[in-house]
Amino acid sequence: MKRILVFTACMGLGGLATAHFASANPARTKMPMVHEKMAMKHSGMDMKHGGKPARAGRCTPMIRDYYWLDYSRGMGMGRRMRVLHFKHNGFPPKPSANMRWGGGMRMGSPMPEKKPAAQSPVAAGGRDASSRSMAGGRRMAMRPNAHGRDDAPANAAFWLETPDKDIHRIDAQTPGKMSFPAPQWGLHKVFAYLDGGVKADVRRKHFAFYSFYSHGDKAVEKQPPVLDGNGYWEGKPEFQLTRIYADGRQRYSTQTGQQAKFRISLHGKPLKGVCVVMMTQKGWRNARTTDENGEVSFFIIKEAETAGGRESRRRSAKYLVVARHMEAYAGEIDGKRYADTRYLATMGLRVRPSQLEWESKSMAFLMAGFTVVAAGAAIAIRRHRRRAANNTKGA
Amino acid sequence: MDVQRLRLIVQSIAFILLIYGGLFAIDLGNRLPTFACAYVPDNGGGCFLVGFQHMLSRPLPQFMGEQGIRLLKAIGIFALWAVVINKAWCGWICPFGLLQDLLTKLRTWLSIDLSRFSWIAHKRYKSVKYILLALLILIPLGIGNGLISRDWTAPFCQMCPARPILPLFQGDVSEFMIDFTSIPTMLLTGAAIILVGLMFTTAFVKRRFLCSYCPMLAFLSLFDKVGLFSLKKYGDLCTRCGNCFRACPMEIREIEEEKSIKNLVTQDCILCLRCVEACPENQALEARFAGFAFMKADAKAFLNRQHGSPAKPKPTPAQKKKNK
Repeated sequence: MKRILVFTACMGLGGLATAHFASANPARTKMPMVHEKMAMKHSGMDMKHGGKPARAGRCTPMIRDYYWLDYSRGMGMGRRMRVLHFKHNGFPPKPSANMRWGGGMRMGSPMPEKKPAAQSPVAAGGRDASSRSMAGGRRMAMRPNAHGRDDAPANAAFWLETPDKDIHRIDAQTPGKMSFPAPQWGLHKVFAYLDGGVKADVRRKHFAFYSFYSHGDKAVEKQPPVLDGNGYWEGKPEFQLTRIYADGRQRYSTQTGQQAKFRISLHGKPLKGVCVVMMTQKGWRNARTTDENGEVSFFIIKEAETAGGRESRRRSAKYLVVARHMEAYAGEIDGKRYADTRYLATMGLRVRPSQLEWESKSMAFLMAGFTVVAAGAAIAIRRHRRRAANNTKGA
Repeated sequence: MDVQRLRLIVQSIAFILLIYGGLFAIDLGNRLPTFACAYVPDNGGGCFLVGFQHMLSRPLPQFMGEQGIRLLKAIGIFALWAVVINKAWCGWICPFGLLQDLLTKLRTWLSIDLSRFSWIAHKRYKSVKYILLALLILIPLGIGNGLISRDWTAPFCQMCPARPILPLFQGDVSEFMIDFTSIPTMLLTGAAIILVGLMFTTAFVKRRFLCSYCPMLAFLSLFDKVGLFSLKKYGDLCTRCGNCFRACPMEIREIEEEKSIKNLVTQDCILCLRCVEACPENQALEARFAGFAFMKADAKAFLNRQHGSPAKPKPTPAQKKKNK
């Protein structure tokens, strides 16, 4: 009995120590401020969905004439080809072909409207889309490319940086759409460059970045790297928008509640005072300027709530970061003179719900505790009955 | 040296290597036939079942090509490990097994009695691990061919009690949770948590309770006959005293009853060698590696363990005088 008491006391002390450790380790237990209001407070902005920024200044979240890389997943398990679209404007994107709704809605996506079965899908909202209902939940499918344009002039060029830091040229099969293998295991980066020409004495250069993680497929042969490119590729894009990770470890997904940090550089040097805008699928925008190190950070907000109050970890939303910079860099191209050069870089992010949105630790601890108590009680009762039966037999 | 003490030392070293090995840049590969949980952030090796389930989640035609070769290669590495030390992976290396053994020591310290299943119940529940093994093969195949939802991905890992427990040793509480993504994930992660609770409770009733239902043990038992590590019994020397059965943490009855079969590495045997240590008959039981017997049952050693080493008798005054 004495030993059991000592053991119980030790367990209690251990539990207290664990609780103390958990509360003292903010990285693991701190609730991320995922709600929009908190995020606004955090970012110093006071704006609503699609609203205007309260802070007046040159850096506004209004962005026009930008190109961005949009990722669409291959179908089925074991897919070998990655599909990327190079799009002009049109963010937030409309639901794509493989986007579906089950018990809840996809994060950050507009909720599909219920339509009578007889109504023509094309007629619905004037959009070239089709929808159908399935037993056991809503499901919606739309034709690809019916929303958001794959729009890339012929001079757009694309490159893929593999985890080995090899650079491969990617050819777009149709304008703005490219599919390519990702044979290696690790983080792949896609760069796009488009010379926008000269408009109103300003030369426009468009850059787009997208990173994705591949588990590799050795069945796809490794392609030879591009050594010299077409003259543009001399190493890195001149205007760079790079994601910075606090611990230096690159991750392939971003979660709500995290701080996302970016660095802007021109010709390898960090740029101060560059206006960077983050946009979400529902239209929330935030604009900030870079500091002395060319860095800017955004709070990744949560945009959608599911009916059940819990998110699925597999659902993701698209966020877009846009950086723009004007440089007094004069020159001439194709007989057209220009006084300034406008750099515009975009980076697409896939944001998943934070772990706290789809899991419950407290429930797990409760369930484990309940199991221990219930199983312990069952064993004690069984032993008690057996002893009683033995005593009866003995008597 | 006491074999059980040696086993505890080996288990502790293996635990440190497998749980903290990554912190010292140690990587023993991810095809280990033991619960070197892949969810431990900086582990020193990975459990075979994780990769195995993911490799099976492919369309069947893919197994005719590169994917099939990769799968065969993984099974080959696993088989190699299994042949070399057989079930000693469970008895001597498994980190989750060590935790159960430590809980058993705690039970002994608290003087709580063991309970035993009836022989019929024991026989009935023995097949559970084979059912789990079949499911962990069939479910990923179903996922790969579009028959089952992806929420069932790596079903065994989701319900494995080692996943919530082992990362705790690196201060990672993230796996001790219930995943509310969907009903399958909720059921599987809930089952893992219930098994954790059961592990702590049943350790005070039965030794190595969860090992009896472990699909890894079922997988390893496929290589029993070809394993280099074996356990031999010479039936004519056995007196059926029952010591071996009482010592066995897996409660294998054959070890006491069998007289004809020489190799006693049965489905449930974890090669802990407690039976050899507990046997009071000279050479009735012996542990062999590649045909070489490195440990034999020894009556003298048995008595020494029971009563301590015999003390030398004190010399009588007459003898002292004689010596002088």
